[in-house]
Amino acid sequence: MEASAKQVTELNKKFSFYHHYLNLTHQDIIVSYKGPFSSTIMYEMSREIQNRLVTDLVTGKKIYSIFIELAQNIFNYSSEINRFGVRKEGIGSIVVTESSESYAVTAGNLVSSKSLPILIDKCQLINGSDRETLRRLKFEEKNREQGSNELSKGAGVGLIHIALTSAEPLEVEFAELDEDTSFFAISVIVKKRI
Amino acid sequence: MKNIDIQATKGEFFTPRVYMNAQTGECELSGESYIEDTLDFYRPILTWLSDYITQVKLPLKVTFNLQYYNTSSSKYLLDIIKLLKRAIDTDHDVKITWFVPKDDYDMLEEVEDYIRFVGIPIDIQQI
Repeated sequence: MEASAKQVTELNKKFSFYHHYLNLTHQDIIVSYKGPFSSTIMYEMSREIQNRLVTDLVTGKKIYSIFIELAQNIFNYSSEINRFGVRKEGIGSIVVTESSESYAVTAGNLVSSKSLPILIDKCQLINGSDRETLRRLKFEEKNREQGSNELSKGAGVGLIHIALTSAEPLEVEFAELDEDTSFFAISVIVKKRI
Repeated sequence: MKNIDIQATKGEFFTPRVYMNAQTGECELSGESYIEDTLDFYRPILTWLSDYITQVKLPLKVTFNLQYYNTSSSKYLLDIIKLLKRAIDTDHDVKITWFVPKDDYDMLEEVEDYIRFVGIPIDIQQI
């Protein structure tokens, strides 16, 4: 049966799963998820990560640790909520990929536009600090009183811990969508052990 | 003072084994710590330690044997270490042993940093 021109156009307006599928085919993907970061999803993803990295337990533990911190940041701080308006779990995306020399854990979510420069500054500070400075920074952040400032809760210790665990510079991608909302993604590399 | 004696739990979240004996001063925290409501879990532990330090003049023998803990948990582990420092400063005899998994250099560094930034002796055992 021939599809009319109108029917084809209607089909093409929908989300192109084919293009999405192709996009994800370029690297060796261990896990990939976009949606609410419930404890169930986090559990399943972390199990898969641990299964895939069973031949290199030291690196596997690092990837697991980085994944948990990034996922918790999405859960706590994403400004994207589910459609029913009740904020249950933060929505975001995490992809763990593998190349011949390293693994990458990339996490992205929406944030408020006013918190974006703070996040970028923190990443720049982290990337510009040596290991000794990072260790001291991490301790100082941990030592601080539990702040009422939402942003100080997770973006501090968690990010520094991620940087120390990976021992590589953090890669950041961001875009301002409008006055209130921006997109922020962070990519963490862990080199394979020879 | 009552004792604390909680078994570890595993599932989507992991809570550690916690044992705190008010008669012998022996305390143990072992397993994994990745908890849905971290404050809720650690608050009674911190309260117990604080009470022990003010009410009991006996020694404290504390053992940490954790395979994994998230950063949220590590803030409360630091609170425990700071209380132990207070115990030392109020003339308690305190012995702390921390078992670090062999090959976990990230945790090793973290415990080394507790030693030097809090200023407290911790016997690190790599296992």
